[in-house]
Amino acid sequence: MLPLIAHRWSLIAALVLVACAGDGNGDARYRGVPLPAPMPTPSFTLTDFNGQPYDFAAQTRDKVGLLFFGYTHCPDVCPLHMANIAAVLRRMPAEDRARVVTVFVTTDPERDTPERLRSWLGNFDPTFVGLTGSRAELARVQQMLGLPEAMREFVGTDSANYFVAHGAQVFAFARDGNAYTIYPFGIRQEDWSNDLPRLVKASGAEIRRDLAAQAKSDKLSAQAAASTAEENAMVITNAVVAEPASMDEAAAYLTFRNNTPQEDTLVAIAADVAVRAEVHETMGEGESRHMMATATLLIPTKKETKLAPDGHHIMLVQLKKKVVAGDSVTLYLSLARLGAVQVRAPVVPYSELEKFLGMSRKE
Amino acid sequence: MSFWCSATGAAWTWQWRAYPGVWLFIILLALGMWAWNRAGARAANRRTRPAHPLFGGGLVILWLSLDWPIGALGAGYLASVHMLQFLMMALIAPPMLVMGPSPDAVALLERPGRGYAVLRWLLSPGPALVLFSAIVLLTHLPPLVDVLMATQVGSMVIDLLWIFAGFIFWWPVVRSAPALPRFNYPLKMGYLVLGLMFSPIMFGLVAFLVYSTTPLYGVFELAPPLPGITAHADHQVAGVLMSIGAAVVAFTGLSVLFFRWNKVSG
Repeated sequence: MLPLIAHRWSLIAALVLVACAGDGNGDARYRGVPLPAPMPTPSFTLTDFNGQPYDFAAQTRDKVGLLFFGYTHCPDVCPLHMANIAAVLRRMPAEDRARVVTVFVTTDPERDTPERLRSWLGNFDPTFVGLTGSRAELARVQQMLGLPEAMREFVGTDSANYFVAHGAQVFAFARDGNAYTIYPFGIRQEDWSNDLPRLVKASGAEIRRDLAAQAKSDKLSAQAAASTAEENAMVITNAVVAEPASMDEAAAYLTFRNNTPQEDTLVAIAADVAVRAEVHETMGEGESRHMMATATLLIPTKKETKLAPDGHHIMLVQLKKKVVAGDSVTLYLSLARLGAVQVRAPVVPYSELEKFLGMSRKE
Repeated sequence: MSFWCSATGAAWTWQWRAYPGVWLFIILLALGMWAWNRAGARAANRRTRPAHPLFGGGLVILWLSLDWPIGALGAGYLASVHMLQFLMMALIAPPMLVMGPSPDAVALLERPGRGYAVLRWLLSPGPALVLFSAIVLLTHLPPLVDVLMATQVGSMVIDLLWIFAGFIFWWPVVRSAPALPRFNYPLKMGYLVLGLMFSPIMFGLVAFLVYSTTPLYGVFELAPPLPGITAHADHQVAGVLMSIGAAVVAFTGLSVLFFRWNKVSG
C-alpha cells in the first residue's frame, strides 16, 4: 500500500516539476530571437580543419545551417553552445539530424589550428565543421552577419594568454536559405529541442507565418496588459539620429528604460538606411579616444540604459542613401527576451541633439 | 570577495576563495547553541553543560558543505554537487546538530506561551514531516532554483531552508522532548522510511533528474562547463545521489533506532 501511495504522490510531484521545467516539445512558439528581417545565407568560403575550402552556402543548401563564431579556448559560451546543440542533435531522428549542419568559425585563428579545431569540435560531435582563415577573411565574414570583428582581450602581460570578445549568438539558416531566428547565449537544450526539429521540417513560408503569428500574439498580449504596461514594460525613448557629415555612417541614440523584472540583451540591430548597424562604445579621452564595436548590449532590469554620445551608441554603417535633418530612420532592434522591436528615429542636426528628447515607444 | 557562494558565471578555477558569510554563520550557530544551553542551565539552576560532541561534528559538516570548494561548485557549477550539499545540510548534519541542546535547554521548550507552543508544534512529527517535504519540493523547483542561485542572498535562503528543514525533520527522531510519549521507536522508524525512503517528493525529484531528456536547472546547464561531465550526465548523477544518499542516511538512522529500541526493551 505504501509504495502505491508513494507512487501516486510521486507522479504528482513529477507533474509539478514538469509544469515548471517543461520539456521543450510541442511549444507553438519559436524560442529563438526573431530577426527584424530575414537574413539571407552569407556567401563565403573559408578553410575547414582538413585544409579544404568550405563554401558555407553550398554546403548548407536545403539544410538547416547553424553558424557560430567562437574560439576553442573560450571558457563558457562556445563550449556551452556546442554541447547543447550536440546533445539535442543526438536525440533527433537520424534523418532529421542529417539535415542540420553545424559550422563553427574560429575568431582566434592564431591558436585554433585545424588540428585543435577538429579535436575540440570532435568532443561534442564528429559532424561539426570548424572553419578558419586569415584575420581579414574572418572579419569580412563577421561583418556580413552584422557582427563586430572579434577582439582579443589580453590578460596581464602574457601575449599568449587572452580572451576573445565575439558575438555570442548562433545564426540558424533555414532550408530556404534565410535566417529568421538567432540563438543568443542563454538558449537551453529545451529551446533547441523545440526549434531545431521545426526548422528542419518547416518551409520558409511556414516559418514566416509562425513568426508573424507569434509577433501578433505578443502585440495582443502587450495591449491586453496595457493598464500596467508602463510599470512592467521595456520603454524605448529619445530615439534620434544625428545628421551625418558623410555618406559613410551615422550615429543613432536612444534610451532603454527596462521596467520588466528581468534583464534583456540587445543582440542585433538593423536600419532601413544602412547596410548594417552596430553598437559601439566610445572609449578613452583626448588623443586616445576611439570607438569599439560590441557584440551585444546588456540592458539591466529596473534601470535606464542610455545610448548616447560619449558612451554606447548605434553606428549605422554604409548608408544606402543621403540622410538629412528632417528625415526619419527605422531602427530594427532584436532583444533576447523581448524579441524584434521597430523604432522610428528622426534625423536632427548634431547641434540640436539635446533638444530632441521625449519621443517614447512602449513595449 | 563574496559573503556567500552563488552562481557567478565565471569559469571555475581551483583557486581558493573566501566566503566570510559562511564562517560567520557557523560561529553564530555555535554561539547560539551555547547561549541556549546557558539559558537552560540558568533556568534549571545548574551548571552550563557543553554541547554534545556530535554537535561539533554537525557544525564541521555544515561548514564543509557551505564553504569552498563544495559550496562554490554546488552553487554555480554542478547539480550533482548541489545535491551533495542538500544531503549534507538536510540529512547528515542536522541529526548531529539536534544533539547540541542539553536536556535543560530542551526543557525550556515545555514553557507556556504561544511562541513555545508553535515551536513544539513545529518539532512534532506530523508538521515536521510535512514542512520538510514541502521545503524539499519548493527548493528543488527549477524556476525557483534558477532565480535564487543567481544571487548570494537567494543561495543563502535555499541553504538556510535546507538546514531548517533538516533540523525540524530530525528532531522528533533524535530527541524525546518536547514530550512525545506515543512517538515510540517503531513509529520513528516508520517516520524515517516515509520521509526519506518512500517519500513521494524524493521519488518525483529523482525520477525527473534521472529520466528527463533535458537538464532541469538552467543555472547549472548554462554554467561554465567543467571537463569530463555533460550537463545532462551531471543532472543524472544528482538524481542518483539523492536516491542513494537518502537511502543510506535512512538505513543508518533505522539501524541506530533499532539498536536503541533493542537496548531499551531488552
